[in-house]
Amino acid sequence: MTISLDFVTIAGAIAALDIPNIEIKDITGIPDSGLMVTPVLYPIPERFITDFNGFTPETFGVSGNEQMTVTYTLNYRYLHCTIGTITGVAAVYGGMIENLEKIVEKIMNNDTLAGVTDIRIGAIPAMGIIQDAAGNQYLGCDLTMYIKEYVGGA
Amino acid sequence: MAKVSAKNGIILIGGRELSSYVMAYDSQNNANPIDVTGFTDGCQNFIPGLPSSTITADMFWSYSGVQVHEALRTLGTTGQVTILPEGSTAGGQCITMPVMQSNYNPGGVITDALKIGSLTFDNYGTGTGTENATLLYHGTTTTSFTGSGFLDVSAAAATATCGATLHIWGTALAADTYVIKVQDSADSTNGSDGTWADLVTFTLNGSALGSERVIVASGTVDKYRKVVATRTGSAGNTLSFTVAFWRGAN
Repeated sequence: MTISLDFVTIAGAIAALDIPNIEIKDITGIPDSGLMVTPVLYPIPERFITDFNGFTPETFGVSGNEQMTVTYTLNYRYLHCTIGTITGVAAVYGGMIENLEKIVEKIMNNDTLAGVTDIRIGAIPAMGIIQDAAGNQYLGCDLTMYIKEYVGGA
Repeated sequence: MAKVSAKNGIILIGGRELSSYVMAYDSQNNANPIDVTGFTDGCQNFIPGLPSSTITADMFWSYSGVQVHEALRTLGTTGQVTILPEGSTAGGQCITMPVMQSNYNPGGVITDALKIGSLTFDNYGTGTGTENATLLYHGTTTTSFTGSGFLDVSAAAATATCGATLHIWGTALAADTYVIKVQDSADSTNGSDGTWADLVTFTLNGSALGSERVIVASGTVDKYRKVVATRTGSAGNTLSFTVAFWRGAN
């Protein structure tokens, strides 16, 4: 067997999750602007993969036959709605939290997604006013997903 | 001389090549010294007792075909354990031992992979413990071969007991069978010329996975040795096997 990583498969599997009223983007569909697509969850392009732990052999074997565990974090951004087009934060804040709840629950109830040995919501490092790649401001949050992959093996 | 990495190690257990499930191994050898100190001795006086050896292997669980769980769950099984510490290059050193498997300990914690614990393989009265052998062949064939590459294992002929251990660890053959032997020669220059004689003939023929140890009573063991495998049949089935050979005291 050879070493095989599943960044692409996992991103695709996350994008394929069905969460009502939320569009989930794959790595091939990251929006330049969230203006027309909110509410949307997408990979943060400048730091999509972080905390990659490298490859540490756990068993004997060579040329991909050795077994290893790879862990890393995938970073996603959730944009709920545009700041400035709303009547007030209070009117939409509850909806954002409800959607965040749906996203977290969906991930945690699908911890055997294609490509992963395990996937867990890691943290919500930012919440409130969030920018898209074009610099537009939104109500939203960032999410980290902890990924574990078992790779290699004869 | 530089250190040698352990990562190329190959662990064969009872005709299974389980290297990629083994996290660590350990071979313990003990002379079990007997205290025979007398009144006139200036210090404690020990003599060797009955030797004992143990091989342990820390392993992951797997239940796929003939892998870990299927192969190792039956306690008390006897067979051969052979370790190739430096890998599969012919001429490399081997640690091999006829063993009885003493435990099997499947377990898991939710944050880690399933494991079967630290397996212990003990002596069971056969041989003298660990046998330090030389690797003659480790690989795969689909046809007969008349020489694994020949080795000048120990420089000169000698009168000694010798032995060889075979592991057939590839897919069991569907149609073909093989006769696997170790041959020796006093005068070969390339592994083909000269006179070769059968030294060890194994019973296992590739129709099933397994391991076998054959001992030859003391006699002349020539300078050069090789493995030959003679196929019966023409299906071209894949045979994967390993032969380790030793001569003289271990």
